[in-house]
Amino acid sequence: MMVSTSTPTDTPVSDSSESHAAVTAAANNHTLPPSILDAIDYARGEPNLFPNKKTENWLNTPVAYVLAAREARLSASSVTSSLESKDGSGSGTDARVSGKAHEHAHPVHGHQEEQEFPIGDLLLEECVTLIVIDGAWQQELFDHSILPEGVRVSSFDALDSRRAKIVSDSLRHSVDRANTPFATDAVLALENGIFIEVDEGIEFETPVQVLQVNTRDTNYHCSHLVSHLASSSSAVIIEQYVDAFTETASNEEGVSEISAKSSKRARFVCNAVSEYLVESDAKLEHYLLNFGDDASIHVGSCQFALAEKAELASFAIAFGSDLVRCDIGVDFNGERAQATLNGVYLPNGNDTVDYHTELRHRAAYGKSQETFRGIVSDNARAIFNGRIHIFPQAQKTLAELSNKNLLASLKAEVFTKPELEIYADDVQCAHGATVAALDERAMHYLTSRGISHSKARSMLSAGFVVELVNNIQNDAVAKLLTPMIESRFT
Amino acid sequence: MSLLKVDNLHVSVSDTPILDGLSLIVNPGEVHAIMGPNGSGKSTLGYALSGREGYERTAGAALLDNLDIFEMDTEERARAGLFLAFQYPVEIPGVSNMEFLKASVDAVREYRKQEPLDSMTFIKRARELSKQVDLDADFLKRGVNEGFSGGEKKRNEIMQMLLLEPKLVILDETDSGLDIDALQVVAKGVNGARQDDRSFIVVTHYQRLLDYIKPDFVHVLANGKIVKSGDASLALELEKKGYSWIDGVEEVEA
Repeated sequence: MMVSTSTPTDTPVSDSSESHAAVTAAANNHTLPPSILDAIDYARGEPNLFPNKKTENWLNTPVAYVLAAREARLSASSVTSSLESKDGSGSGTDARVSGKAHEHAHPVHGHQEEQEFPIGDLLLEECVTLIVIDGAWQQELFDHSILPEGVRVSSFDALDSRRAKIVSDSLRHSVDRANTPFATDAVLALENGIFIEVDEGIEFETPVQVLQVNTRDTNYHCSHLVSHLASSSSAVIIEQYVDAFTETASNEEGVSEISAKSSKRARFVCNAVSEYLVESDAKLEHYLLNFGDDASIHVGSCQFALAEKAELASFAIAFGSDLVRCDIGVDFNGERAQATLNGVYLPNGNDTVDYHTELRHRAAYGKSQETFRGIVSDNARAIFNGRIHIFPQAQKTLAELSNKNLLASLKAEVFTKPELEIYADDVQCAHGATVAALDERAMHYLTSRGISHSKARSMLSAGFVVELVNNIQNDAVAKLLTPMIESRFT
Repeated sequence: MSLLKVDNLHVSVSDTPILDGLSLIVNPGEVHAIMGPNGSGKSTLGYALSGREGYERTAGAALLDNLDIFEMDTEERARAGLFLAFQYPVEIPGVSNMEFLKASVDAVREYRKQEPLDSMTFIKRARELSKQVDLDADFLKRGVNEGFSGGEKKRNEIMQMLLLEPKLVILDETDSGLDIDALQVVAKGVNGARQDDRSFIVVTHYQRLLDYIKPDFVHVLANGKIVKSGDASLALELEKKGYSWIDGVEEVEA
């Protein structure tokens, strides 16, 4: 993180609220194991929580939100969200969240009416689902007996000291690695989190869906997920972020549609931190699905540490929110570790999507292939910053990075910056970025066959990302995303 | 009644006049060949009639089946029966041929108030036609023209023509880049599609294609207008003598 001297205006959090933070944190976290509390202290020691990065002006707004939200979090009395579970008729769980703002909640909410949000539509088929509401895992909805031997899901406050140490190290890692203050703040705000572990040699094929539902009950919340895949194990983990006030409906064909119509709703910030430790010969298939509403801000960090011969296949998608900022980092700590990182972003309206990725090759014979594609419509904006960092000892690394962008309107904006930083002399690296508009010749070709202008646009747009979508290994995810992407362009 | 009536058509591209008063009448069932030196506006005619962006009609008119072409969008012209076989068919990765052809057929059939083809019937038809133009049925799954050879692209154009059953077909230098075998496949496709209510405008540089597709009329296009018309023998004469003997053709520097 850049070191800069902050002027008072850069850090509007006053000393008194900082001390308030300490008190609140202590009050909320008293059940956490000691080493995790140490990690929070570590984050508190981060000298440069909100640096003044003049080069990244876009940061100003979200930082202001985070600050305001933090203040609100610290000053508001605790907010409750109740959750009822009832048996669904037919297949799947028909859990409904009934969220009601506490009467002392921050005025940003205004008065709210009780609303119901159908979670059943979001449960992926043939998955183990963890439901997280506003950062809090709803443990009472989870049946531990469905997990096979060698696979465990625990909350941070239930960890023994050995596991707590793993989590603590991960949290410190996220403070150190992330390029934004958000990860640090998420650790500061830590109350609890989820720890997923897969024991040595266990190949857990059933995907674990971590369904993070954000209600309007809080205007700032954080979530924490740490996963540990022991040697020679495998797992599929799906992180899915949904805003409860997104209008989700099933059309006649039973296809989930997400349409975010209102832009005047109260804004809120979801700050999610995920850490994955993938030990030697272990395989992680990972999905980061961001279905945020256009009135929400999603920030966070997703970091992977790969040991020798570990394999990661990750796919990220963001449909766009007021802001999605995600820092994805991979550390190739062991030799012959490899990662495929694919991503798609489809912001429209006034959305901003910002992916910062950093592949840190620290050991020899590593292999990475990263492909991000985005279609930016309306007044939306996309930022892609992809960095490959090859350390001196990482000889024989193969690394490829590609970022392609389609500007679907005259007002859309793309800022893309692929970066290579290479300190080893025997490596193969390639990186490239393109920004283009819809191909006028292709449009003419399609319409000259009778296809309407709008259909042609949607075919070309969907076609731009179809390769990455077709490469999605998990059927349930592919089935969920394909109609959503198609409906995005019709 | 004529199928296509082009009257004193002027077309500019980026404010540069290309067509300069072109007139042409095509009756149902006729085959017209348009020949001419490089830069005479042959391709511009196809693009302008099909509605490519940037090809601006500055004067004149064109009627297709008595409908004002320039009042219609590109897709409406196609639905009304205009088909341009491209000189350079566009590669569109990410959109499969199958998806593309189905969308085209659906759009055209809807316009003609025909029942939509169900998937099975459509696939069967598409496979038959692929075979007819010597394309491996496998190509339906590939991206539109993606990685196709020049010959495959042209055969794909003919395949689309057969599938969409247009009234007026403009073949824009469909013979360029084709070997003799592919040329025969293309010609066979065209000849098989000739019928009383379907007309063709064959734009070509060479007499060769006209050995296979016999034109009723041959026109020489130069400097944006038709400067000479005749029957099939005119093409043979042009092959022998070139263009320079015709009034109105200026020597064009290569």
